[in-house]
Amino acid sequence: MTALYRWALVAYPRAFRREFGEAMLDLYAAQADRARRLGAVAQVRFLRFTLVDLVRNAVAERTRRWRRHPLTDRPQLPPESPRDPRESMNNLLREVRHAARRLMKAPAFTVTAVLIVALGIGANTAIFSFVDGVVLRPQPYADADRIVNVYQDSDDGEPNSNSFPAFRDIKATTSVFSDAVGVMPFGVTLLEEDGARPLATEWVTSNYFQMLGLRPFVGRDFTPADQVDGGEPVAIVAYGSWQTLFGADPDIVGRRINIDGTQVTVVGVAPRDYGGILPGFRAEIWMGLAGLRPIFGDYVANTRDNRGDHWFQVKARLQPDVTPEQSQAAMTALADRLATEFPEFNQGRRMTVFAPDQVRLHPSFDSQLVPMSVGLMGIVGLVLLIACSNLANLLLLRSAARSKDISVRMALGASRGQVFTHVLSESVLLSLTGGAVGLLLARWAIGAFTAAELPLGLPAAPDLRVDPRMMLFSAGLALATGVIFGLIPAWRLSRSDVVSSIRENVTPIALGRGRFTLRNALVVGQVALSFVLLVVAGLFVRSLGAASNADLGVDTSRIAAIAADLGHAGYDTESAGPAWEQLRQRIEASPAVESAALTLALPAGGGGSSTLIVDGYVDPDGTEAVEVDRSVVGPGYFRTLGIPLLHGRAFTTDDEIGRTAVISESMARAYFGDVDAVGGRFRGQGSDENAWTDVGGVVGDVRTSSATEPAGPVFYYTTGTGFGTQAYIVARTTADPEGVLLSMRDELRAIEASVPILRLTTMEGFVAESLQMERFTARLLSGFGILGLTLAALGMYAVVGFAVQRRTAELGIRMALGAARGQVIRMVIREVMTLIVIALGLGLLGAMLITPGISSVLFGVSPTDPVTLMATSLLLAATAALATWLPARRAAGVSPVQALRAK
Amino acid sequence: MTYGAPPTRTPLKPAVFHILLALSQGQLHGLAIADSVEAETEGDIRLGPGTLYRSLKEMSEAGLVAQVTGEAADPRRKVYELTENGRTLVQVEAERLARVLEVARSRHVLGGGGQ
Repeated sequence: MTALYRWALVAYPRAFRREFGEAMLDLYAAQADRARRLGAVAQVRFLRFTLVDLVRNAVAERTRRWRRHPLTDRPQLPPESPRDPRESMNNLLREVRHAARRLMKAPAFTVTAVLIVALGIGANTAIFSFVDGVVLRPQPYADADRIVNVYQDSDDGEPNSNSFPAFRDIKATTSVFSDAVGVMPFGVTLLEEDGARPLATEWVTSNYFQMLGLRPFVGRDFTPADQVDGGEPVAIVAYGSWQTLFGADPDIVGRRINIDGTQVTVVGVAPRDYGGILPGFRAEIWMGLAGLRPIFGDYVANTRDNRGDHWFQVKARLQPDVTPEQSQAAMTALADRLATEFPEFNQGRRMTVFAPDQVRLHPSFDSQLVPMSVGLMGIVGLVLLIACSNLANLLLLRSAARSKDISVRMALGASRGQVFTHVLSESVLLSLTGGAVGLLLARWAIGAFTAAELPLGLPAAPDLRVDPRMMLFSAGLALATGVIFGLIPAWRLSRSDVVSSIRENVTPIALGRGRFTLRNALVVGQVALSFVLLVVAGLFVRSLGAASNADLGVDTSRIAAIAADLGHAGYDTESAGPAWEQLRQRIEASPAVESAALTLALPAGGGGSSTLIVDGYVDPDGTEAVEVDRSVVGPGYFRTLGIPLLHGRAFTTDDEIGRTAVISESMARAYFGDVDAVGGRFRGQGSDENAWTDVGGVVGDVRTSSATEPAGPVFYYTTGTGFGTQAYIVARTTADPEGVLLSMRDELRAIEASVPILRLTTMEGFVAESLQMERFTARLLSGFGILGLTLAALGMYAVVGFAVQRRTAELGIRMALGAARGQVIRMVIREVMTLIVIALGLGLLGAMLITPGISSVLFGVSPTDPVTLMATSLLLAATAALATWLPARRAAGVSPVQALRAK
Repeated sequence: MTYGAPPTRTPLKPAVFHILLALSQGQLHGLAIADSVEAETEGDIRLGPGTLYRSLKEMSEAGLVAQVTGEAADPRRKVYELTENGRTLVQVEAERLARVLEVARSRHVLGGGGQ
């Protein structure tokens, strides 16, 4: 402990320490000894006593020059120099000005260093702005800590979302809640003259803004009339949508917009920084529930009264003095009551209250949110680490070049502290400038992200912004970078041997003669880190490749598809059927098309599922019902997509709705025990017990839900001509399907000129588009990988360049003694390559530690994929060779005479 | 009405007063001063190393105490004594406190003081 106290004495000014340090230690030792004999409690008290004594007096002693003497009341005399704070400020400013001037004189160094820091900090700020939005930034609600979230269980028993009747019951529980809002995230499409644009939407109860404590930016809030079924459809648009989609129209209030073919009146603009109930994402429009029926039709609108449809997120405001726990008790009671009153819907369905700090997006997302954020920050953190060690390297280089100058300063009496200030002011200035440029880079990157409209598969677009929080983040990061990585060269310089460095006229802080110098360690670190980055990126690229080439069970070449919504052209479900069939025939008649078929969804495009009772099948756990994916397709579908018919027959135009089904091979094996399931039958759960559907045929497995999910049991049924207003027509073409797309569009226009086209794509294009999230991840990570690689290459180049320069004389002698140019180059490269091999070894180790953590998000590639590891090693080795070869060649180009004269 | 006392602000800080009081016994080294103060105040005032030596430093600067030099001075055992000014000051301060005590006693705020 005495040693610790001796160390703690640095808190006092040096002069004071020098005079009284020994005496203080002596007193401390005596007092500590006494406290020890009095037992543990006395020791703890003594520790606190000593700490207070230390802090209070050290501060007083260090600040005394600004105060009057406590006993004589005279201004303090200058035992230490009489500096007032203004003067030290001036000194600091002067130091910074000088640093700036010195840096201006070395523009190449300065620009490189600033860029390196900017790249590192820019990448981190951009990613942090996303993580901050999703995980950290508080929502702008009034008294946000009194707003809880209520969830009914889903069918699998997890807290999920609520039926609208349940929302009403929750809102009516006024013993614990003063108010509650219901929110349904259900996208709508804005139709404009030049096309359709999907909008991230929240359908909300009319008290939404008011309960959350928000006021429209302009216009009015929703009123109860906006929620009444049969009322006029109205919307409040987001501030951002107002600015971009509606050109900041000053007459936005009262403007009528076309939402999915319905005229909707805009009544207001939402608060400026508000993006909806999902933090980190931004909703673009809020719709009053009155719009449900005109926009989505009776089926959707009627679910408002259906306890079986769970579409609403519920936020409720606690009554004063009610705790979340008490509200949970009330909700449990409500759930029990609902289970008794509506057993068919609510038997065993719990209701759970989540306190405001327990939920960010949704209980089912949140568990992935934090790991994802940590992972992302970790990846960009690696980039920053590489950038920082690069900066340290550059600063070392520079300090080596300037060490003579510094030595002279020290010889002239500059204190170690002044040398520190001198070097640190440069590094901090560099890093702060880098941070500012980085912030600009981040802004630009965020702009690019946002413009690209990330397909994140969520009901809202990500809300990325550069706000004061971001500025604080990058400033803090920059300052830390500058101080921490400036300290290394500052420390080395302040220890340099003054006399020898001046006399010998050599670089005094020659960076060690051995292989294990600080500088080499930094390079090894950079290369190892970029190896890890590149491996992670490589795995995602390989995973994307595997997903793109995944066998869907469909022959994807030469398939074109068009989707449209005839409803917008005035067709209803009745009249749409014949129109679709007419269009299908026209497309099939084209000489470039072999066959065409109708379908509601494309392979890998998702679809619904149904709960079925299969005749003669009982699940191992005793239940009869099984959940099976379904696809609605027309005649000719299997032939057109090249899905093999294994048994029985495919659909014909004579098939009646619901009488016959075709099932996938997996379904046949799973529930009928045999691939040949023809003659088996099943029915929908809850349907008439005699309404069996016969299995007419069995086809090969197809990945229906997505390209990356394995094919499972699927049943196909046909609706004859009744396809509803929205459908796809797929066509197998005789040549390149791209060429057929336009003629398909023309055929549609020929039937109905005003129909909005929802999709016009080839099957390959469709699959590629469905992998947008994977592609985005792969690109983002590749970007980081390349950034890391570039930085590491820069680091290697600088180090080798410096080493070569330092050894110019030696190389010159070798060449004078007859070494060939190539030999010299090889010698230099060999030395660097040893470092690279060490770095690759370390990187491999790091990759092995990290990649198992991401295996769950990889598709079709092992986390230790040898191809990725090999390719990454080769890429790094090649980069290293190039970064080394350039300076080595320059060294070998020097003539021996020149080299020796340089000494 | 000054007594020609040194230009020192009174009332004194307790640490300063008690250090002066301790040194009125004669020359003492730092550890002995701290022990003496702690004993005389029955543990009410404990001087940590920082408070003790910073006070001694300020008191030397104000000319109240002086370090006793001689015999190969041990840096751990700094010995101090009162100067004339210091002696006057402790006396003045003690008299001031005595007058305060008198007042307290006459007003019966001190238990066992007056009748």
